[in-house]
Amino acid sequence: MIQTRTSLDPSVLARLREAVGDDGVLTGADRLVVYESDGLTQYRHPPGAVVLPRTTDELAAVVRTLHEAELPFVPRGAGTGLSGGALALDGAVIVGTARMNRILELDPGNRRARVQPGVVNSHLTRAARPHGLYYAPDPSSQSACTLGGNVAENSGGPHCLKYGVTTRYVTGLTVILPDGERVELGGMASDPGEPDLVGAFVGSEGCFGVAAEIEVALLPLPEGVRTLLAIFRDLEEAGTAVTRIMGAGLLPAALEIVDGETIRAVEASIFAAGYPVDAAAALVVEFDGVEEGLDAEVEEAARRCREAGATEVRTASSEAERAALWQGRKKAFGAMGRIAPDLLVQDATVPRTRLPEVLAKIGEIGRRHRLTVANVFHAGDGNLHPNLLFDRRDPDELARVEAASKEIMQVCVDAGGTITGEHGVGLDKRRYMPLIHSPEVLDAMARVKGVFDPSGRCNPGKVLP
Amino acid sequence: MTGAVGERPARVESPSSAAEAGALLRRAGEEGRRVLPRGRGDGPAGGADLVIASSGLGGSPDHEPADLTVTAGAGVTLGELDTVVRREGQWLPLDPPASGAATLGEVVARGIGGPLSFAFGRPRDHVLGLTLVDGEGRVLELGGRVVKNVAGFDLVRLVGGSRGALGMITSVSLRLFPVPEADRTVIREADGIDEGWALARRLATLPLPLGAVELEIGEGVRVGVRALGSSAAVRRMERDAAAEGGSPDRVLEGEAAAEFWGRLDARGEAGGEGDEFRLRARTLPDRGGEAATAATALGAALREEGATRVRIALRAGTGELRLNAWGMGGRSGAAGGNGAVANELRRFREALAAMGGSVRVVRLPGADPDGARLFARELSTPPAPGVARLRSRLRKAFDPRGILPGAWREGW
Repeated sequence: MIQTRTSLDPSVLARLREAVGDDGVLTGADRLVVYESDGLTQYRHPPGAVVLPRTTDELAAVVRTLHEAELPFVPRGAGTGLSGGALALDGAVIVGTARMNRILELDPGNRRARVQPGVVNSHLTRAARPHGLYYAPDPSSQSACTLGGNVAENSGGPHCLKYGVTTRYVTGLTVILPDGERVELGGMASDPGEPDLVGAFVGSEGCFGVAAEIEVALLPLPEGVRTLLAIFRDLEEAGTAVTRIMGAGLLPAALEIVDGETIRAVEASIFAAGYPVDAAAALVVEFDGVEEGLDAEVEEAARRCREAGATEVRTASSEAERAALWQGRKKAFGAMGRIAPDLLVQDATVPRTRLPEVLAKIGEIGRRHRLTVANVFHAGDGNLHPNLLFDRRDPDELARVEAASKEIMQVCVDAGGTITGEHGVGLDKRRYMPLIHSPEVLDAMARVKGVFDPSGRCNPGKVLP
Repeated sequence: MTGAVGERPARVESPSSAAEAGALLRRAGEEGRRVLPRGRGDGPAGGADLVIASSGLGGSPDHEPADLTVTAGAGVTLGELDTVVRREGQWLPLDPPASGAATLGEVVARGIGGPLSFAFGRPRDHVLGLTLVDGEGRVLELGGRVVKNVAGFDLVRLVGGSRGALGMITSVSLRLFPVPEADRTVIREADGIDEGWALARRLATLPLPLGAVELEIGEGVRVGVRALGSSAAVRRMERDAAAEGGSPDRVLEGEAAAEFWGRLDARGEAGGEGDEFRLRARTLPDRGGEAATAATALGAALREEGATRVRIALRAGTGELRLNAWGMGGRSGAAGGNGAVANELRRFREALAAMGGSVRVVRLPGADPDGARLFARELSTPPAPGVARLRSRLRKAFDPRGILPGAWREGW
């Protein structure tokens, strides 16, 4: 027997069902359980109900119904977010965009696409490829995460070093405001000298409304790609290599580092990539562009790696070889899930030049708290993911993880960085916001939130402390 | 209030810190002033009774070459910044109108890019953080100095293109790029607009990382292409461009190239800025040719009304068109001004609307600047429904007393 868990008023449920159809409103406990968590799996918050519209009109009707019933709601894409942004606190209703998964318009002549928010990131690139185009922001979760989620978090990815993050590529939005009103923001044919409401909405973590339609810019596929993998005995040497490569005036498309702990985790798993298990760090460097000049760039990068102490440099000259070089980096998070029951994925950014010193301090913090820290990071832009492996059933270990996490955050802030480079604040990092924002700035953010959401019922309890 | 002709004299202050700017704005709020944040130098007060200039917000930029970032006072010009960062082989690939002399604060507040925005984006895409002093004198340090930052709502983006409505920018942190090994511009003269546009479109849609592709319609019609990158890559791009449109008529580098690109959005020519008419239009890139045709017709009509010179530039990859005209003097607008020009502008706006595009009349020279500004707004494409209300509420969140230009000048 299906047990209904919702405490929603039956008349509200009826209106929601009228808007999206019976199968678009989930209330059974068994159906709701997958929506209790997002990518931040240590938290569980059962939603009051889950509503799944298919079109902009249905979405607007749902939001309007919830607004009139004065019910808080939480927008949710694929639920892969790592900051708890899609958690339904206090029984809020989840408005899921998974069924809004159509590419509405693919416009290769204008290097432009218009998509519903539930379109999976990699599906858009796949659809654009036959036209010689692709969608540049490539978060690691791109085979699952959605464009709507990317807009909410202003997602990055390994190639954002050269190409920029989501906000660079979102040119227009149809937004359903929290009161159900529909507004068109920006657009590729709109005047460029206007206040950037699209830019303000990107990265607003589902707190300003729901993006119902997203217009994005596409890029031409680069003609050539060259990838190298450099192995180091020392994590700091890898950091130095990065500084030397950037200092040489090169602009790689991607610069990624995985440390020894991560390498060992990957090599012990089914994802084994052939990285040497005694390495302290592996650096993946990629260049792309027209064929002419690419070989010279990758050779120069290889030279800088050797100068910094690389014990081995491998280069790829085919797509299969390239995939092999990336494997250790791409499977890092999946492999770590096999070492310990729980993983705290941190996300901080520091100025690139402070990386070596910050990495050393993080190592010291891990040792002092007797925790395993596995570092994976976008070395080119100073965005680090020091990952803490633990078992939450051990309360002592859990306490040490929380203490270490806070210290790591402070170290990054003290080095001139920020508390989150790409995962967002969500629920998880609200308490750290005062570390980098003054009370005046937090108040200004609250006022701006109030402009889009005067009722305060759109994803409450997120971002602002 | 406003005198019969010309402008009220305004007091000009040049604070040398965000705190000083804050104190000025707080007092201005108490006194109910009309404040205009501005860059350096002289210029019309535009109806303000207090101008806050950024001349005191200069100083040496704080350049971190190893991080490819720089932080500078809002009063530093793009030219000054370029001199500093080039010493370390870096640059800021931004070429907005009036490039060399524009201050960082102006560039960010206006939000408009130049030809390089095709490849590198607009000013907002380069800003990592900024300090804003709002209408209540609150000093807000927004964003940061790192290239990846999603800590909270993106107020930095909101400030871009806000033209002083939210406050005065006092300092800016920017992301830099390595200076490319090669940077060459090729120019191809065209036999008319259709041929020029077709060539520009073909070049802009090549799968090559070109820096800029522009169509210029003025004395003749020509297409300019800028290729940046390694020497090998630039040679390859030039070869491919020549394969599309034949050998170039001119190849430019350095100063000569800068002169060509700077000309496309140059201001203050022939007769001084007082006489200049400016508008921007935008369509999706593939309809740019239709916009160019409509703009040429508008240009011809403006000549009938006394314009001695008309220049049109069209960014082939983004569909951004700019039209400048000189010589009409005060006949072009203002309440009670010449109806013929207004009708032509309305016709142009409708033509653009039919193409799914937008128009912004930026500058109507006229004896009464307040009237001209209102008229220019009336002749521009209105904001989408709901957007005006959002803008107005955003403005009030930063300027509740309405002392900044968004309130008293631009009707946000």
